[in-house]
Amino acid sequence: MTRWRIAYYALCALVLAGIVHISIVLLIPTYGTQDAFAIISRKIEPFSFRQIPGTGPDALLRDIDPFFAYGVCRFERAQGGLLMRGPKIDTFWSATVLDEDGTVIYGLNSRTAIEGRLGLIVLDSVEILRLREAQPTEAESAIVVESDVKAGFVVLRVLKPDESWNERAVSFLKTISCEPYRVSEPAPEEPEPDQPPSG
Amino acid sequence: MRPSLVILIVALAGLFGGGVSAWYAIRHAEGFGAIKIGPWTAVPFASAEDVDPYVVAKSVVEGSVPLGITEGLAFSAYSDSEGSVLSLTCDYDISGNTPAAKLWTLVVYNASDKPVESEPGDVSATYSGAVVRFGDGSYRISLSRHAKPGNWLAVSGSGDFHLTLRLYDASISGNSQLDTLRMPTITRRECL
Repeated sequence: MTRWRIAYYALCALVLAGIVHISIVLLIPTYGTQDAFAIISRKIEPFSFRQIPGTGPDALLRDIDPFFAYGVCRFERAQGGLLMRGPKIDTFWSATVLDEDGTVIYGLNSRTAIEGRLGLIVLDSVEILRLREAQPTEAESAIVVESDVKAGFVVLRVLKPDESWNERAVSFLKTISCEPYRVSEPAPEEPEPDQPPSG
Repeated sequence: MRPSLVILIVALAGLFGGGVSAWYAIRHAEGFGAIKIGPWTAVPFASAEDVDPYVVAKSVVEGSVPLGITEGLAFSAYSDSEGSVLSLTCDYDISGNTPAAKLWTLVVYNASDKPVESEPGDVSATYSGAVVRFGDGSYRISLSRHAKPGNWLAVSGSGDFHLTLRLYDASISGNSQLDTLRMPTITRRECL
């Protein structure tokens, strides 16, 4: 009798342990304060692209590849979508869009980008519809990512194979623009000849 | 025993057990989708739709930004191909092939996850563009504290280390391909 009782208690403890285990794992992304997004949020204003030191005592992120220069842009949906643009550079780069929990939403690199240029628009599903209607010029040279996250960040990595590349990688990062983006009404400055509605 | 005491013990055991096991699982998260090739382990950080909660929790706890699967894949090795722990006091040959990728980097990290420096400010690392290969495309990199002919990956200091080989823009799309991937072997040479 007592043996069954102990087994029953042990089973109860085990089930409770399982619930606690799953809760912790699933709640950490929501309540964690040491994650990359929290660290970046404390240091970097939204919609300002900043180069971040990869190594040394003031390194912001862990798991940094010393062959790369890193830049981060944080975005908040409350201020609109995100438009990120950069020039062409001969070296390899890659950009990752992550949400607040650090989950990868999208990744592109110099090979998959349009004409090798960084062009990235992040919009929610409603704005995407508006974008399709308006068809602004920005959207032609940018990869459009649909995501309904409230906030997130983009990590840009640029390969600097040796020290002679440091300067070029840094100047590339300095020219990256990262700004809030709203789909505007059909552009007034460049009135295109009216096309009859087709279909 | 009084029922209230039993409930208390069961509750404490449950909380403690759940907490410890969660902490351990996150710390050692390799997820269920970890790829093991010889001594190398990679945790593919898949897209938002199918992501491993342990891998996410680990990146949150560590404050790291993992490579997305479309971006690349990071393999880490903590032991040589025989299974012995990697030590800076030994010489190693890293030889073979890497899966097809636009480029890869190989970095030596010490036990506290900081890059090892061969000289102050000089990180012990190499990348695909700097490695001289044999006729068949394979390569051999000698990791040592002393100068070596060929591809020499200079290190310094002592203690354990681990290697991280990051493949960028790798043409790896599905798990089926991952099974046939080949990674270099890590062979221990003489130790001091």
